[in-house]
Amino acid sequence: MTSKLPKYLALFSLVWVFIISCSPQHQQSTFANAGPVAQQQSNLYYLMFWIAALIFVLVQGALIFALLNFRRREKPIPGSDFTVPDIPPKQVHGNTKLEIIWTIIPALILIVIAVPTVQTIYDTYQPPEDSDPLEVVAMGHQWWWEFRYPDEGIVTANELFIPTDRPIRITLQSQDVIHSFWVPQAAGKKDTVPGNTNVMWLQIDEPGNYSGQCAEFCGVAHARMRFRVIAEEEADFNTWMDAMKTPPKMDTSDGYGLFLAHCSMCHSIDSYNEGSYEKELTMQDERWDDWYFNQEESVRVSAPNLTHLGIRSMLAAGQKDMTKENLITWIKDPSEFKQGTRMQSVASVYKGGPAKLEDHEIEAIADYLLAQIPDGWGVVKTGGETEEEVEAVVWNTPEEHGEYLFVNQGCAGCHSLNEEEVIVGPSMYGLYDRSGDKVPGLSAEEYIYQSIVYPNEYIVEGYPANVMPQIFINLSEEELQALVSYLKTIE
Amino acid sequence: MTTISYPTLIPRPKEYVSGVWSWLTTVDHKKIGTMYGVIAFFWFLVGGIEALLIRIQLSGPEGKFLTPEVYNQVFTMHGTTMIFLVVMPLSAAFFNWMVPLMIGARDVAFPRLNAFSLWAFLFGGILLNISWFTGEAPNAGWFAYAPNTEVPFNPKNGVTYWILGLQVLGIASLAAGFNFLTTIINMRAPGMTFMKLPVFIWMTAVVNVLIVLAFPVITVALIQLQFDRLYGTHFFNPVMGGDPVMWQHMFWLFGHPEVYILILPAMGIVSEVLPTFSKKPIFGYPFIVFSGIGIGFLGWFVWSHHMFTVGLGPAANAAFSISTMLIAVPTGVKIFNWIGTLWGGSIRATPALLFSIAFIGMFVIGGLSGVTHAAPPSDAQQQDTYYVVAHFHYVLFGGALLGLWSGIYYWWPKFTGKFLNEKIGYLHFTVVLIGFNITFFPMHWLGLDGMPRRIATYPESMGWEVSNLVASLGSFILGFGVLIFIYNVIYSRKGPKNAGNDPWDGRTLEWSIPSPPPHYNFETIPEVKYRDDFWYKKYPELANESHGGGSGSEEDSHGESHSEPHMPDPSYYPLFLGLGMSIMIGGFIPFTGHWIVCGVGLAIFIWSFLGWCYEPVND
Repeated sequence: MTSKLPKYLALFSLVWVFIISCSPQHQQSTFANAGPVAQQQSNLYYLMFWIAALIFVLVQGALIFALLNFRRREKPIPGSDFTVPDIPPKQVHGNTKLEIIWTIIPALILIVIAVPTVQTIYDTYQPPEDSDPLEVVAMGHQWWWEFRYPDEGIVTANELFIPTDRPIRITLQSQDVIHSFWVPQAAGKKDTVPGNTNVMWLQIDEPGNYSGQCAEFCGVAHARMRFRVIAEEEADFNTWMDAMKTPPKMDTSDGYGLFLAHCSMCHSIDSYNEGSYEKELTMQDERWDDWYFNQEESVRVSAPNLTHLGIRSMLAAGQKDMTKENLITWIKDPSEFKQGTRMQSVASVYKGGPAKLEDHEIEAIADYLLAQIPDGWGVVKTGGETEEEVEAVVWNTPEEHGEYLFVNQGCAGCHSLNEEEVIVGPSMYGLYDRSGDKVPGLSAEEYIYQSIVYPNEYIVEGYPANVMPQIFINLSEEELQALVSYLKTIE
Repeated sequence: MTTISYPTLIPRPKEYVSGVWSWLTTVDHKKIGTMYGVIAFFWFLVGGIEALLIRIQLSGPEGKFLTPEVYNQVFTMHGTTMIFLVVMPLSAAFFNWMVPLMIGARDVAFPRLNAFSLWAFLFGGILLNISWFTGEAPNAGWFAYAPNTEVPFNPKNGVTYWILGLQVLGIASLAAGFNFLTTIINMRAPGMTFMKLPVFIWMTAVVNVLIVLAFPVITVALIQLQFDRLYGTHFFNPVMGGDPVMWQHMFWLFGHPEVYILILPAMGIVSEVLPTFSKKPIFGYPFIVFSGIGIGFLGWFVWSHHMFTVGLGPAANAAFSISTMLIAVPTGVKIFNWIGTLWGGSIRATPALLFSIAFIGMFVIGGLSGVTHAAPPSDAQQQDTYYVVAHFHYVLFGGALLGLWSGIYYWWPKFTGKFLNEKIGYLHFTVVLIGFNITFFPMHWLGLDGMPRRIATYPESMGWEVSNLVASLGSFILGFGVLIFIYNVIYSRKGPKNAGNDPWDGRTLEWSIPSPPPHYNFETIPEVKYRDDFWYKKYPELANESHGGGSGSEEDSHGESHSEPHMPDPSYYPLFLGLGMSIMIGGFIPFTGHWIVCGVGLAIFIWSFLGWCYEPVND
């Protein structure tokens, strides 16, 4: 047992080596400081570390020295039968002076630590007063991150774009449980607490991708709640902000209709429009309340905004690279990448299992999503070939046009044409016959028309509100009339 | 004199019923202590297996060994088990065995209440772990932060099992806490003033004050959470105006004193082991005692350091930061005084002493890393990372458990009359210490490298692979070390009963009586003149050097010896009271027909409560 000294020395040198070289190249190293907040925090850590290292050496040294030096020696005296007698040593009961000294010294050391600690608490609490911080709201959700730019009216998810060299003031909120926003290279963490609003700030000096992760246990997919901070030069950041307000190229592929039918009650995808910021905030709250107060039956829940998904680099809250292949796997069965998602347990297209869609339908949705790129966006990051000729379609009658819209706008995803079958919403079978006397004063045509444009005003008994997307108000008058004409024919 | 006929439903067992019933009905503090130890060690193995499952899952990136849900259950139960079913009851085993022996008493103040604590602990542990078999083990962490524990986010019964299991365990702890406090205050041998108490008894007293004051806080919080989950209240539900941060305040207002409940018994053990094996009195007895009291007291003013990232604001963070740092002062005093005890001593490096030395060494590491997260800005990077996991395992395993092992090696001869094998003990010590460091030391830099706690898995390319693999290998070395200890216990059972009364040349009263002690402990209650009284009876020539109150306060002594020890009779009722209470509380878990179970429990509870009250004394 005499070999403890080398062991402790080895242990200590290990500490030293690892602290010095604590892998700043690692994505989440707290020593790879990318900005002033993280820098101040690790300065404080270094101060304490070196004091602690000194105390460690002194105390362990004294302990080991005492153990080795004052061991009882009961060896026989060479050449005789006698042993060294086992006499009790001098009975020292204490030394008040010494004990007072070693009470005061730690107290003094603590003052040395406490003063810069309190200073750093206040220094890192708010951005410098003369700065012009960018305001960002970070919302924790089970298990993804929503990022809002209230001054710019931008909503996005899981990837936080920020300018370099400018303080970012982050308002932290949560809709469900407690999460914690943590980008180790930029700043220490702070919790997002439902019902309480927290504020933190950070600043990143070099452009690049910075890895972040939820740090407060928040349920089954806690480990999968990652995100990225993408710091860009001011000019690049401004380009990104403008792009977020620019619509993507028109897309009338099959994917659009499928997306509307199966995804759009939870995922917004058009938040580039004027006024869409406020709308998204309201929608997100509605979706959440719908799930929270009606968990058994709700088919929707708050979900990441997918506007311009094609320019994001990761999917499923920082789990995988945004490639077509990964996106298809993710849509097909989210639990491949992440178990326990609300998407899989709530959305009617999953209801706990893999997506009830054909492979070509999933591919069409993936293509559609990857094509969500602001018009004129410089770098196209998608790998998939999304350029496809859209056939020009000619309709002979409004009914034919309506039928096309019924499928391609996604109505068919929720409304069946059979009497028996209910997908999500009411079956369209015999709609015209029963629409005439639904609302006094509205003819059947008017009732159908109004229900498409203002779905929540005309909820059929037994069906949940807030499920049907309120986006068909954007259809042209001609298209709406065509839909009504088509629906009249289903008998 | 009128005779009252008591409504006795079953007769009181005779004093020496044999076999299983002698254990089930016992009120003897030594037998109860043994059962506490054996049951807690069983849970230690269960919690250890849970720890190994965690380490297997994390040994490489994208671990698929456990599903995320099961992983969450395993880490929740690992923490809950190790704290409530291992370290606390192992400490209670020592309180039970040692408090009467060290203060010269024949039993604790309330022997039946003591038995009741044991049975409530047993059934509480079972209730908590039944959840494994219903597939609904608690999955929200031992800290159970609201609103993740509220029904919308946690609809299964796991958290309810956790709440009710903890309630039963809390009742067990409270009963034991009052019992030991009363025992220490009222049943000290004549002449044993407070400043002559062994340090272990002092620490026991501090711990039990903490238990008595801290457990009501968690009891209230658990009741509120239970009402939130089962009866539609909204104490912690922000959607309906509740406050989840309130849960954190209440939990940690209990939780931080709980930390000292876990560590102070080990500190008490170390304070007995070091003087014995150095053949010197403890260095600076008053400093050691008052620093222990100081730690217990300051422990009430630091709870929010668990909440530095919750957003309490800079003023609160600064205040709690400073109060937390203050705790380093009394802790430092203890460590320096322990070294002072060794200094100039005649040290015999038995396994017991080595475990105590390792306790100090490991505790210093845990204490120093603790200071680095007493500073909120630094803690903002460390909170909820593996750095904190490393920290508290250095304090709770390197600290509490090594200290308890020291106590096991130290008092084993007193418990059984036999020695634990010393050679196997050295091997056990070496393997455990090495395995422990390999397991937990890499977690320091895993945390600093940005690995959060409680993640069921982690992606590749984070740079965490090697350290995690090393930690996982270390955990199996540690597990092997535990097996060596089990082997030592089995091996040493065959050994001769050669310990005698006083194998270590001990200092305190327990070494003055046979090993194992007779059921009445002391034939005559000793008269105490000095601190470490037994030592000065053996070495009267050293007594004039004593600071231990050598003046001998005669007025404290009752001068009356009990020649005919009368011991309390065994009783069936503690067992049934504990059983009835646990069934009743378990009956609140909302399975089909649960109110019937609750009613059956209530009936047993009332019957055994009345039986307890009216139980006659055997002639």
